[in-house]
Amino acid sequence: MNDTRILLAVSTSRYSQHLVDLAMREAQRLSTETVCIDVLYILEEEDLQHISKRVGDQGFLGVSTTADVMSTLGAEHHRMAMLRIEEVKAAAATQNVTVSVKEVTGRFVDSVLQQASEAHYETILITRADRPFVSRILFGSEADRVARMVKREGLGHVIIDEDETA
Amino acid sequence: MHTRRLIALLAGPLLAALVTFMDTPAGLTLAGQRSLAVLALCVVWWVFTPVGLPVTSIMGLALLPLLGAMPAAEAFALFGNQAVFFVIGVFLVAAVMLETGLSSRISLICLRRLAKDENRICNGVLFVSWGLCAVVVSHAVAALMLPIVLELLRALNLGPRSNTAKRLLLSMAWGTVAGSNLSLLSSARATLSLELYGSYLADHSLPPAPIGFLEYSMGSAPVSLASVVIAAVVLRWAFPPEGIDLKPAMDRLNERVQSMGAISTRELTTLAVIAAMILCVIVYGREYGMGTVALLFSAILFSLQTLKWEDAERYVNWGVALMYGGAIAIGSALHSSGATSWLIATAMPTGNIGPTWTLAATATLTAGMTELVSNSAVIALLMPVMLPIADQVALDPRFVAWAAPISAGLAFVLPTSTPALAMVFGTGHLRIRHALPGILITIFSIIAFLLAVHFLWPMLGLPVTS
Repeated sequence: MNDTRILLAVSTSRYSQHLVDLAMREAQRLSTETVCIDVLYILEEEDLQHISKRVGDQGFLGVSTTADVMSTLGAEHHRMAMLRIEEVKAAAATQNVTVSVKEVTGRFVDSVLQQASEAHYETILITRADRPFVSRILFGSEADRVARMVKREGLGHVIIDEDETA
Repeated sequence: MHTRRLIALLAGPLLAALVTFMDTPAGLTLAGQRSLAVLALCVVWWVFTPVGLPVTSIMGLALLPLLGAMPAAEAFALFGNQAVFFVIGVFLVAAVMLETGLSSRISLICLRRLAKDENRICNGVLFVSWGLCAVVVSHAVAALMLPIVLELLRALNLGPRSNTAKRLLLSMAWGTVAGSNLSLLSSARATLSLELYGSYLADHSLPPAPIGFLEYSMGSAPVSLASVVIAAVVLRWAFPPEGIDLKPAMDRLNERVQSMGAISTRELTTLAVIAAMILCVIVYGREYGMGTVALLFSAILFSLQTLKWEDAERYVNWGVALMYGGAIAIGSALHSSGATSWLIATAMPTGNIGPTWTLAATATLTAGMTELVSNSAVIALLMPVMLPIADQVALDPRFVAWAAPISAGLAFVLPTSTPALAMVFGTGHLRIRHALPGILITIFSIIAFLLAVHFLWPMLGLPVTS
C-alpha cells in the first residue's frame, strides 16, 4: 500500500510554527492509514550569497573575513535546521504521523521542484520568506514561482501559508 | 542573470544616454549636463546594485572624461586624494585588530566582566560592539562579534523563538550601527563626507575649513552615545528577559578568555601603534593630512611585521579605494560644472525653510535612504546636492558634512541597510518585524542630533548658522 505523502519544504528564512501546524492539520484531513510528512530542509545558498555580497561589497571586508562570516552563518543555519526539524518531529509524534527528513543545499525553487519530481505528493506546503511587501510586488515571490512551476509540471497541489509568524 | 539585475543594469546607461542627448536646459553648462548624466547612471547602479559599488564608481570615473564632464587628468588626480588613503588606513587598522586577535581579546574580556545576568550580558554585547567601533570600522566589529554572539546562543541552547537570542543579535547589530558614528575610524562614510565638503569649498573658491579628527568626533560621538543608550532602552522594552540560566555562557566566555593566554608582544605593539596613530591624526592631521598620517602608521605596522601584506589582502576589500575615489571625483565634477547649483535652482522649492529644518530634513532623508541603500552610496549621492542647499538656507555647509554621515549611521531596521543587520537577519533568528522598534532609535537619534546641534555644538565652538 502506498503512503499518502505531504512535502513540507522549509528553510532558514522560510519557516513558521503556523506552517508546521498547517502540515499537521493537512495530515489529519487526508487521514488515510499512513500519512508521511517529508520535511525538506533547504540551506539556501542564495541567502548566504546575498549576505556575502553585502559584507564584501558594502562593508568592504576582505575575502578572509567574509569567508569567516559565511562559515559562522552556515553553521548556525544547520543548527537552526536541527532545532526546527525536532519541532516538526515533536508535533508529528502527537498526531501519529511519520516524518522523514532531508537536508539539502541549493536554491529554494530548484530544490522543491527536484524533490516534488522524485515522489508523488498530495500536498506541498511552503511559506514565504520575510521580505518587504513592496519588494515582493516589484520583483515577485519565490513561493509563487514554486506554486506556478509545480502546477505547470503537474507535480501536486501547493499551499502557500501566508502566516509568517516565526 | 536575474531580471531585476538586468533591468537595473540597462536602466543606468539608458538614463545617462537620455540626459546626455537631451537639449541642454537654459542655465546649465554642457559639462554640467554630462555630469548629471554620470550621476543618473550612478544613482541607478548604486541604489539597485546590479554591479558592486566600486564598479559603479569606476564606471563614473571613466565616463567623466569620456563625456567631457571633466578633464581626465583632473578626474584621476582626485582619485589619489587624502581621504582615499585615510580610508585605506582605517581598514588596515581593522585588519590588524582582527588578525592579531586583539579585538577578540578586548571584547571577550569585557563581556566576561559584564555578563552577570541576562540584561547585563545583552547590554554588554551592545556596549562592547559600540565601544570597539571607536577604533575598528563598524562592519569589521560586526564580523568579529557575530561568532561570539552565536557561540553564546549555542552555549545557552537558544532557539529561533527565544527573545534573548533576538536581543543578543540585535544588540550586536544596533551597537555597531550606533558605534559607526563614534569617530572617523568607525566608518569610511564620514571621511567621504568631509572630503566632498572640502572639494565643494575648493570648487567654489571658498577658504578651506577642514574638519579634524577630534572635531568631527566631538560632534558625532554624543549622538552615537545617545543612539546606543536609546537602543539599550528599546531592546529591554521589546525583548524582556526570559529568566534563563547564564552559567553555560559564562563558562564558555571563561574558557575562551583562558584559551587566549596572556597578551602577546604583537598585540601590545598593535595597541601602541594604533594609539600613536590616533594621537598623530589628532595633532598633525590638519597640517599634513589624515591620509598621510594613516599611510605612515600603516607602513609602520607592516615594517614591524605586526601586519603582513598577505593578511591585509585577505582582510581588506580594495574595492573600497575605487568606490571612494570615484565618488569623490563624481562629486567634484557635479560641483565644478555647476550641475548641482542648476539642479537646486530648478528643482528646489523657492521658500526658505531655515537652517534647523534643513538639517532635520537632511538627517531624515539620509536616515530613510540608508535603510534601503548602502550608506557610502547615500553619502556619495546626497552630499553634492545637500551642500549647495545649505548655502541657500544660510546653514554653514560644514554641518551637512556632519549631518549626512551621522544620519547615514541611523539605519536600525532593514537587512539592506548595513552588513551588520544583514548578518543578524541571516542567522534566521529574526524577522523584519523584530527590528521594527529600531525606528524609535532612528527617530530619537535624529532628535538627539538636532538637540546636540543646538545646545551642545555651540559649546564646542560649532555655531549652526553661517
